[in-house]
Amino acid sequence: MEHTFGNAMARLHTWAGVILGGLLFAIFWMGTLCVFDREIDRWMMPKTRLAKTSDISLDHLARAVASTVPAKASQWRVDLPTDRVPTLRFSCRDGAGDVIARHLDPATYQIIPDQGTKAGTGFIFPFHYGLHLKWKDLGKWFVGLAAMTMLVLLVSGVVVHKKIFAQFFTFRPRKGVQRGSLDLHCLTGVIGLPFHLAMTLSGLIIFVSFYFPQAQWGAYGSGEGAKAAYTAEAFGSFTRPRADAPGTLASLDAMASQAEREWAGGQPYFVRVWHPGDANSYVELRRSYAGDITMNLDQIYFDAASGELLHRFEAAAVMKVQRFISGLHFIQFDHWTLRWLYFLAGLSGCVMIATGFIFWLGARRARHARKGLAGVRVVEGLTVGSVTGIIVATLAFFAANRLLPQGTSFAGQGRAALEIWTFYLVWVACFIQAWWRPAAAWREQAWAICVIALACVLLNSVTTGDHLIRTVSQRTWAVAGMDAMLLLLTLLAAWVAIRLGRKAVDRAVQSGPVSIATEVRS
Amino acid sequence: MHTRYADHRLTRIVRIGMRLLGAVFGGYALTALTVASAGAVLARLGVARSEAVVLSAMPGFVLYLALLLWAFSIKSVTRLWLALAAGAAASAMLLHLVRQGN
Amino acid sequence: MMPALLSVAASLASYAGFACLALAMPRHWAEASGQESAAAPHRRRLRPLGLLMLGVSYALCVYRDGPSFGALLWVLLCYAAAIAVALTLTWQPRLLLPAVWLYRSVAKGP
Repeated sequence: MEHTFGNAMARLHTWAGVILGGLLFAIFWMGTLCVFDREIDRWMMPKTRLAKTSDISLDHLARAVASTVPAKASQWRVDLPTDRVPTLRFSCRDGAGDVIARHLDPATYQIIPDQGTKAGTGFIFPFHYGLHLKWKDLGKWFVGLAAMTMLVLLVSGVVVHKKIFAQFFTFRPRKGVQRGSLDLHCLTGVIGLPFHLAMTLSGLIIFVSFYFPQAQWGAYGSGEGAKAAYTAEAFGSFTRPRADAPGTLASLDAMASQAEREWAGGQPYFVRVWHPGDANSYVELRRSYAGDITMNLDQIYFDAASGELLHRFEAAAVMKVQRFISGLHFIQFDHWTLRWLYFLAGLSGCVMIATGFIFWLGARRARHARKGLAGVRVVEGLTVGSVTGIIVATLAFFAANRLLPQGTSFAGQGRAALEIWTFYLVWVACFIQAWWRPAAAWREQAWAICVIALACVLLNSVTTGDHLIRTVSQRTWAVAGMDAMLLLLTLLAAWVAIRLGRKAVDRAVQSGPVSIATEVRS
Repeated sequence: MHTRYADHRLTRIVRIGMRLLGAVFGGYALTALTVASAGAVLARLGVARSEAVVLSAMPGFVLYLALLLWAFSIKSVTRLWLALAAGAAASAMLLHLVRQGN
Repeated sequence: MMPALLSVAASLASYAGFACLALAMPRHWAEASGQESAAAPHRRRLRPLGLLMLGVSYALCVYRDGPSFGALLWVLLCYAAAIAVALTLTWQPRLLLPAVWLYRSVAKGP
């Protein structure tokens, strides 16, 4: 093949897609679920399915948690309830630096027993940006590499798409799997280009300090001192050492009111008490960004004993831009229409990646059959495991959450860890099944999705009594939404499995295989 | 001219490997150095230090993307490495000069 | 109530906008109307109309949610609307017939 720019981009698009497509699907899938991570939390932690309370007294709260805070704790913190999280989230760091985290009932300020799960915010969300590979932050580097590859794929895809304007609205599923999947791949890729570009770039920009720590060399120099200086100047910080003498805590509600006045009406979203019980204790409040895209860094510090305002910080202009871009990705704002649109857009990204694979596999299979090669079986196994496999594994994670009794442990692994083991073991099993039964893999895993999704809905009803009719009538929308999505998935997976079953019966050769050579600009 | 040894399977693998290494690691190194020197220049021009860092780092991803696309489209792998090395040297020198003046 | 109405209106405007842009293309015009037609006259009128509808959608979004949320909402609504138009053309192209009739009654030409 002649080495032109077009050909190079075509080869790059294909190889980058094949090699990193599986990882990209995992990141997109988990990211899409993260749109509703707080709702997944409600589903996986039934005792947090509470009604929203609007009046929280911080002073009452401080008295209620006083006994739970360890003696030499360096800090305790409570995140206030929001539209999507009805509980108070209490956490504290003891003298040894270990973190204790609990949910509190907003009506009674009592601790809700540990539900023994990492749920959406504790497993799905960290998986999305770090793959739970913490050694040397390898996971984040892999995700970063995948994100850069995504950008390369988007640009190379556009360069290579010969009829990008003519086929802007084109989708021809009736012309066969090859034509249909390529059309859908281009449809979601081109129309969704602004979204995919924005999400990928914003995701990288969230971690700009991690991926380009060298940026600090120029302005600050290198070393720990330089890093600390940058962190303090960019993100704000205020510290003062312990006095090692007892101290009191003034009214937190009064501090919150003063903060509100300082912020011209902005509400605090969490309160943190540093050096609790010490004479030099101080209180930190940060402003909620539920009504903005920008995730502001506004923070105010008060002296704990007197309530005197000690320090105030706001992000500078360029930092605000970074926080706005981050906010486009994190979507922590209250806006249900946007949230659902992001969810649909995320799913379309998953469709884009999956259809890319399906097209490539189809083209490769035909070519390999002609040449008599068997390598495509390995890649097909990897694809099935990466696409339907991770969906099956996620559903198994949800099912395990409903099946495992509280307080279970096995081989030194607690309940939360056992749920996560279920996810990984089922995922591996899906890869093995795909290699062992290649012809039927897609269909059988589609059936697995159908069955396990339905099982999750039934298990939720049986173990918590919150079936769809009850959750809708009681307006526990988080749980109702999750059950509804699971039921939709059941139906969709069944439809796909049945269609694949019919195709297996008439395995006729496609009329005129679509090859990338006819589609690609060279 | 290249057909004799370029067709050899091992040579092709080495060439692809070198191109990948150059693109991914060389491209990152060049981007990182450019970002660092840009940060230094901005800070020297009077931009607040933390702002200079964020302002120089955010476009880094776009620069890296451009380098990746270029690295996979340029015909000669040798030229790729030479260009990356030259760029890195230039950025490093600029960074050194600006920081020396501090 | 009002925000919901504005969302629906903005979605419809966006859908109509992309439908016009799609129908400005000869192939999709043929799919919707069931007959071949010369490309040029359509493109000249349907494209500006489509862009205008997209502009209306943008205005409704910004009116509903302010400049930043409004713009974000508009971008995502457009994504959904364009896909919806593509799917309509795939499965029920004749649903876009009203747009064809509207255009014909306004255009007074071939």
